[in-house]
Amino acid sequence: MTPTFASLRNLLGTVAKSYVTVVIVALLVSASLAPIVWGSTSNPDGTVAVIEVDSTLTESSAERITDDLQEARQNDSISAVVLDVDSPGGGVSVSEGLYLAVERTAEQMPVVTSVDSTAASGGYYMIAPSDEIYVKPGSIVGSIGVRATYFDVPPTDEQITTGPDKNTGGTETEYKAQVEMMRQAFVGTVIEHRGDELTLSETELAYAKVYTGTKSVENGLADDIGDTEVAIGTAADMAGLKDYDTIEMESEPLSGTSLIIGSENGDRPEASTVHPQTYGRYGAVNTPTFLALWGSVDNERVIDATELERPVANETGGDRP
Amino acid sequence: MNVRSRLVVFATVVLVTVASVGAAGLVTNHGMTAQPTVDQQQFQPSAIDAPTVDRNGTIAYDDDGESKTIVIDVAHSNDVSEEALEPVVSALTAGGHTVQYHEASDEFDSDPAADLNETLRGADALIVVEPETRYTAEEAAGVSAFADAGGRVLFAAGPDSGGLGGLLGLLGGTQPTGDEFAAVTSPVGIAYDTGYLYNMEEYENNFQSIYATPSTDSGLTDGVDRVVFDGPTPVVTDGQTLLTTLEGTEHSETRETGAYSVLARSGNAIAVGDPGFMSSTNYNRADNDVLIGNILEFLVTGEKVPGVPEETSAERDTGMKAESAESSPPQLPST
Repeated sequence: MTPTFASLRNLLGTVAKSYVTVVIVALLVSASLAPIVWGSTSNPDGTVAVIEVDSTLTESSAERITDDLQEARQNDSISAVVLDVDSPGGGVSVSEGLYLAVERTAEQMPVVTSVDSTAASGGYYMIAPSDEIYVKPGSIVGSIGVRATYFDVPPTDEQITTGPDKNTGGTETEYKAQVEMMRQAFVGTVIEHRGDELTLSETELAYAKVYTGTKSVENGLADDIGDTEVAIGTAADMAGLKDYDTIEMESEPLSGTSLIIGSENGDRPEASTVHPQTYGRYGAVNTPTFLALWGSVDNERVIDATELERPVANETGGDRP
Repeated sequence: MNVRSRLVVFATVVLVTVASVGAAGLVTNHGMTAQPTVDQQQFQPSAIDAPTVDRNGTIAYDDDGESKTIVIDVAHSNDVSEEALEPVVSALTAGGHTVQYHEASDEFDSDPAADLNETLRGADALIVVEPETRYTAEEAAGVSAFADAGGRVLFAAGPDSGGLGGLLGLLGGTQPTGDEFAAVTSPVGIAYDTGYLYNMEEYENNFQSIYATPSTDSGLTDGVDRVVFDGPTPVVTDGQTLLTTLEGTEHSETRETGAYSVLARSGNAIAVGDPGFMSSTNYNRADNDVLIGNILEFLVTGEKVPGVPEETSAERDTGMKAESAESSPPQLPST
């Protein structure tokens, strides 16, 4: 061993043993671990999922919403849901299905609704289980009722049927009874979920009127004036989140559900055009239809209750069990 | 350490790791999904009050043993289908009475008033359902004279006659139809309202299927407990109100609550606010059959003076023209 090599080794030994070296190495190690620790201590407490409902309620649009709600329930990072609603309703059974999905979600986590323009008929049915409903002063809320289209097409000489009601499905009287039963379920749902807040009686609800946002806060169909930001804040607060992320849940038309974080401009399918079956149009075949809808449908064969001679129609709203 | 012992160590580590993960999954119950249920009470069949419609009874009535002639007006674009009056026509026919339809003449120079008067002269009762063209003053005068002479008249119309019907008539390019029914009902002391009646508290199977009960003792309401109308329109009269809706009934236009008259009598004329209660699908609901029987008895037990409405001078002139026309060669109408 040469003297030069020996002195170099002594120097390295001294450096290795010095406190400066220890501190430098410790800083390097800390720098690599710090982000992990930072992430674990400063990350949001949870996530508020915003589900947009901005179309009429058909089987296809409802499938996306129920998928989103299911995702919210199954994703451990999601602690609360905000429904951003602008819908005049749609099919009765579709509305009932959405109601059940929202109710199922509300049993598991806070669900807060923000009504944009309209939450009428089936659009209200589905939000009835919400923990809080926010409206804008000019929002339209209500239309708690059902309507049906009905075809009075008795068997003719040109066809053979196996029963007198094969074509129509029943008599006009029976259709009226069916509509009445759907009305009872709808009104009962609203009473169940909003009964403590409502100043409207069951009979007053059954008129199926729509109310402005301001009026709906007074009569208990809604809780307060607010927008989606307020709804998100309330949902987070109810979930106990001091610090939280917001995600907007969305899905591509007729495809699986996906989460698009921070995106607000995803194209949505025009549900009413992709699922005419909700309105009784099965290709070349038209069927009687039960609707929880506020508004008219193009070419809809509707008779109001005063003119039940040929066809009929109905509407529904929402509640909380 | 030889190769064999190293393999043993390797296999042991893999086994322990996989077993640990499997045990952890079982302990944490990961992968178990709760079975979704629908327990909402308001959706259960037991919570839904399925409406029922009480149907039974047949139309029965007494008469004075004479065969009467009952005219049904179809000359004013009347919205009356075969099924709408089938129970009435069948009951009258089965009772030995004659049902005659008064149709509009398709002759170019016919006089509708003269035609109607001629029909009424041979009639004992007149039924007018949902006219969609207006009675002329002459026609109305004939009906009024018919009632004054003991002829029995039944007016039946729903909400469309006075209001919407007028609008639709204009859109359809037909004759002006606003207030068309009043033209013939007003001279005999009866007027129809517009709009329909409903009851949000007590109804049969729809808020417009409402009950009406007798408001006074009368042969026309004898045996009637309650009848069912579908969205009737109120009827007002200077005579006697026979049936009123239940308290709490509302008017579709005014939204005022009350007990509205839906069957009224003025002299020899009666008016009902819903022609549908006599139809083949509704005649046996509640006590509708009893009411219809009473109305038929009213129609066939009048004592009408023969020869009324009398021929007017204009009718006589028309008649003379017609006779002279029959004896002379056809001529083009003068302009």
